[in-house]
Amino acid sequence: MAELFPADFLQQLEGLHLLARQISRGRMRAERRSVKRGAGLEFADYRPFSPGDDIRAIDWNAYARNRHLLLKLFEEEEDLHVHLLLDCSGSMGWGTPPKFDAARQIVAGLAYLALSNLDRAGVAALGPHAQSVWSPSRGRARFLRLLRHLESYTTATGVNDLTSGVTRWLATRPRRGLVIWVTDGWGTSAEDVFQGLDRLRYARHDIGIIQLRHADEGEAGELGEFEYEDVETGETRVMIVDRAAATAYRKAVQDYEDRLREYSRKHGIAHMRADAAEPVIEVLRRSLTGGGFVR
Amino acid sequence: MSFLFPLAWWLGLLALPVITFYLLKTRQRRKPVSTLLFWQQIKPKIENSPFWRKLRRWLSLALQLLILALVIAALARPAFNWEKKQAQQVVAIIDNSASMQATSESPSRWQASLDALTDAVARLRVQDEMALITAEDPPRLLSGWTSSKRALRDALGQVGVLPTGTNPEAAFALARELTTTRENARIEVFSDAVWPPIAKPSANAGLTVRGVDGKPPVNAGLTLFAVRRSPASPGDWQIDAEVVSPTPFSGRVEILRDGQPMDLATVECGPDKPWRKTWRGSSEGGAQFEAVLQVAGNDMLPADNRARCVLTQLKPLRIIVTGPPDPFLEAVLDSIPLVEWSRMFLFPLAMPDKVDLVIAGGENLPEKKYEVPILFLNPARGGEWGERKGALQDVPVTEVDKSSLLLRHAGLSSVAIEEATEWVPPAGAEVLASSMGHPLIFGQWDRQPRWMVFAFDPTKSDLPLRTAFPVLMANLLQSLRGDADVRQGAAVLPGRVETDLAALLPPTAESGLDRGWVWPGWWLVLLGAFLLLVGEWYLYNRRITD
Repeated sequence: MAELFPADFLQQLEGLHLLARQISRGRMRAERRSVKRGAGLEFADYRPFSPGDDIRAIDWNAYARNRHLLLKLFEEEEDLHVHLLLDCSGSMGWGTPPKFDAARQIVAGLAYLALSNLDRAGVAALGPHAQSVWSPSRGRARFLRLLRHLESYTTATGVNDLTSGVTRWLATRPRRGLVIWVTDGWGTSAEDVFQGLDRLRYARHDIGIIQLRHADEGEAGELGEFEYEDVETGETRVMIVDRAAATAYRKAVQDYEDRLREYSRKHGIAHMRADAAEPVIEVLRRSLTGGGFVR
Repeated sequence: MSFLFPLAWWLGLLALPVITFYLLKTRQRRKPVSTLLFWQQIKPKIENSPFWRKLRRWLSLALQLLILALVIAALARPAFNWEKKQAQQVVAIIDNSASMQATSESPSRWQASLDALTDAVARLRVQDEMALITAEDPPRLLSGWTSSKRALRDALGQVGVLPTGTNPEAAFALARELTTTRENARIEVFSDAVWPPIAKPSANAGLTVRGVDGKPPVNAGLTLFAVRRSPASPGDWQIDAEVVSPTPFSGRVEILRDGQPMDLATVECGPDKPWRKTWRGSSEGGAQFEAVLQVAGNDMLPADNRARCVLTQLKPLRIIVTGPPDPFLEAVLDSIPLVEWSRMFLFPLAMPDKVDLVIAGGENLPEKKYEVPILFLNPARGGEWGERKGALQDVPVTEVDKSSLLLRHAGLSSVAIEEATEWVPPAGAEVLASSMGHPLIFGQWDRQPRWMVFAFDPTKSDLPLRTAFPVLMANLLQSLRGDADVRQGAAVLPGRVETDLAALLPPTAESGLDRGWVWPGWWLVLLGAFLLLVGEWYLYNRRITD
């Protein structure tokens, strides 16, 4: 655990928590309320009384004015569920250092912030192989166990469909909440990641996506004739790369990322792109200040 | 087409490693990537020429093998037929005269010409030939026709600059003989072009002069310093001196006679304005004259600042006159200086020593051949000197050989001759004067044995009363002194300088050996290989496929 989560990492997370609290205080208090109506303190709405309703909620003052039984509805306060989805596909193990290490540190950081804010944080590994899920739970005391759990996660090769991973997770019927998906965004097709996000949107989750990749993944690299091997599927393809091909490659990556950014903006998804070689604390700080990942 | 170095084709075995490396190269390096998503996206764009994609690998290999074949072909030194037709044969004449020591070029004209010739040798192609001649006297054939650059360089290493002038005409003649053995052969002269034969455009036809550049050298020099005696009065002599400079020059010439100062003259000359001066004197004795040109500033050719000529001592001519006294003849002989004559009534049976001329006439004729020159005055019978015929009366002189030195300044055309004898000269005799086809003065004076016949008795004509008679006799006697007595001193440079010390043609003038660059065949083959290489590199970078 010392290698992946050193001691100073935990200290930096504590500093990050203070920053998160300052940011949260400046926002509207209702920002994180549940959509459920129930036994809260804050008035939400009226509705006509129907038999079986709690008569203690009848607004008698309204009845005195217009002779209609109206029931006062209150917003039910509840814990925020923060679901952290970790991409465990083979492509996350690519690069030096592997993207998967940075992804786990980011997930740990986000979980710490959630637990510190008395929210429930859960972690799910999306990948070609089955790995145990960390069910949403509350309390900073569980954080060290969460770290050990994160350390047990691994990447695996094999065809990894992002959409089916999300679908499998949704099949566990997680409670609605904030879903933060830490992934490189490389799917089996150009539509894969968008279909996965669609599924999350349809499940009415608040969504955030952190796209994590190395800078050289956006470039074709050295010119020449190479046999490219997909570390995820093992598939190979022989290509002769000249300047024109390198330019086309760079443009394809840029177009894909622009499309993901536009999709996120359009659907209110918090999107942030991070470099795997970038310090994780810096990524988390950016997520707090500009990413829209704090509720 | 043939190959001059066919062993180079063994290098064709290099095709094996080329093919091996090509096959190894086509096994691509494996490169793990996080996703093939984007390669799949751009692949349709690069798959729009599938036929070319399939062909590319083999075409590339074929191009590489073709490039190798062309490089080997270039190393095998191909000789194309058109190259053979363009073969050049050049006879190079090297001027190694003293003027080539001039330093108007750096380090010298000689070195500049030698460098130009070495460069021309270096540019010889396989099919070219060259012959080397130096313009010495007689000309020296350094190398006959050869294509061997080494032989030509070795021959060039044997040449040095002479301290005197050279004989270009003989060199040209030898060069022309050499050109007759080759078709379209040329003569090229490597010279500073101060040779009069080169300077004359009419004589320059067929010659290519390659030499030093045309900038005027800073050099003033004695181009003429000669002494000669008067043909009419052998005791009188005259010195002619000339100084030429292609740039304005001011200096002095000191004339020494036997090492003692004789005169000191101021010299002012410039381009197209040579300085000339003449000294005259009279002396029967010999002397050595020397001219020293005193140059204050820079002078590129010190060798022409000093000249020397020798005036030889005159010796008296000993003449024997046979027959009865002839006052006119005796008076003439007395009037000519340095003549000692004696009379003998009969032709001597044994010729005394040191006799320069015998004047015989009438019946006093030799019975045998003598080495001594003989002047026959109306001989009474024929002999080696011709066949005597009948007599002629009142004979006018109608034809005179004006080109003969013996008749120079002698006006014979108005001489009246009362009686003459008709003669038939022997073969080879030269007729100097005749009357209506009848020879009056004839003989053999330019080769041994020398003799001359007057076909009339001077006393039977008005010749002794005319000035033509002493002039004729003086010319006759003067010719006996020969070159030894009337010698012209030699200047440093041969003859009068007819050009200034500058090249006739600039170095950029068209010349056979550097007339543009004739592309050798191997170079063109190599160029083709290079173009193919560029094409292969272009295709490799432009095409992308899997």
